Amino acid sequence: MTAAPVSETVSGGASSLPLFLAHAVELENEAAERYDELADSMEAHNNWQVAALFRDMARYSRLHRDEVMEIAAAHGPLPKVAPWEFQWIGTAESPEAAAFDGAHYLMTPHHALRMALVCEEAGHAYYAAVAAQTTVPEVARLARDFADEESHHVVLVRQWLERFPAPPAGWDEDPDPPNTEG
Amino acid sequence: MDQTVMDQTVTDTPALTPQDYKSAVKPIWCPGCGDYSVLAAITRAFATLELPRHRTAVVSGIGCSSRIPAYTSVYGFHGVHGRALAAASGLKLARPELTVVVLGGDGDGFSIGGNHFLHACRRNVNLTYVIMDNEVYGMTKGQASPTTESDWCHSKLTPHGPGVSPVQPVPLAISCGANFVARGFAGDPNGVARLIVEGIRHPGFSVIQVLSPCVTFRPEQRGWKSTVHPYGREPAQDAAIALRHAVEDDGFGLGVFLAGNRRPFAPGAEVTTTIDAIEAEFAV
Repeated sequence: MTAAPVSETVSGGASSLPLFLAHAVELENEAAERYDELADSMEAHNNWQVAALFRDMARYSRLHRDEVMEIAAAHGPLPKVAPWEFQWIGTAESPEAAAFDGAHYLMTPHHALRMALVCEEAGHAYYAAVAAQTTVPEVARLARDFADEESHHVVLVRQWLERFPAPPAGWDEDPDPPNTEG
Repeated sequence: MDQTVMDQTVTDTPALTPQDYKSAVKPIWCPGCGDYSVLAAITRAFATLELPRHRTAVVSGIGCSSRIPAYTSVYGFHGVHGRALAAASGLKLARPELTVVVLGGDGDGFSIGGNHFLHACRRNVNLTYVIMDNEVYGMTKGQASPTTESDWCHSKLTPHGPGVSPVQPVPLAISCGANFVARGFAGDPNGVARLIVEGIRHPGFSVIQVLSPCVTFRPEQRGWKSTVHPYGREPAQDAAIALRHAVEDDGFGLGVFLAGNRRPFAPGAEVTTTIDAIEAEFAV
């Protein structure tokens, strides 16, 4: 086995309605799990404001997941797909899973929202690409709907960011830093 | 272990999700630590395999990554430093019906537990060992580990670097007799989940090195995401071929190097004594 190939041009979610819905559920599942991980790590470092923000993001992701599952319920059981078999576009995991290595224990809501913005934009790009690729009419319709919803999220996060402008330089300076010279 | 776990033994429950394999204990790793992704990969692998929680055990030693048993809802044993493989071998041999996964870091596995690692490979008990390799002792605040580069000089203990060549986990595991050897990257949790699934399914001792960045004491490891690459070969069945390929690799190739066919170790089934008889020998 070699590392799973990252699909650059074709999305597995475009090939059939059940696979598309499975991708849509997983997209939100992985996003929620990552936001929860980030919230956990912020709570462990007493960064409560950012922790609450990430926790909210996880909750929103699960709400969207539940909405997709309601739609899916009308189309029978979802196919079982192993985590590495999902075919995203240009990524090896859900496009809405935040980059965990972008976290810092002193990060501010601005940085967290920047991470969320990247995720929402990637989610929109994914659904737009599926809508453009698929030959299944119902997949195209749903993908367009979901892309519209993601673009609405992009707008919301941008509005949110206006309330949390970038902090001045030095935001990551800690007067009592961890001992990094062991 | 909560009651819902035990209930699986008597009720026909729906398939578990990755979240079901996580406990209520929240990790205390640093933000950005690769171990979060490895935990996600482990739970995704367990869910993919539909492992019953009461028939699954995770065993660890000491270190940041060795905290994982507390964060899962399967049976767990957080043991002493470097002895996870010894404890896990005993557990698997006594309870062969269990799926036993061993977890730890590079210091726990290759320094304090180095001797156990060599012999676990050659013994080839049916275990899966996931090593979260960040090339540093993170829990004790950043000292050089067995996999640290010889010229890494960011510790007061080794101001001029360790000065010795780092252990190469993949070639070492192959040469010592492990039956399945692979390397993954924490930045690709789904790829790591796949390796863990394959490792558990493969008979014998499976070693999976996961490059897991320590963003606090090795911040430069954030760059690993642009350094790793597919290993690019099919897994070898012959250890000699796998070893040659592993030595030629730059240490950042991801995939399965060896999927061997050695028969797993199994103790003789014949009972030669009883606990009462052994106790009697020690009676004073």
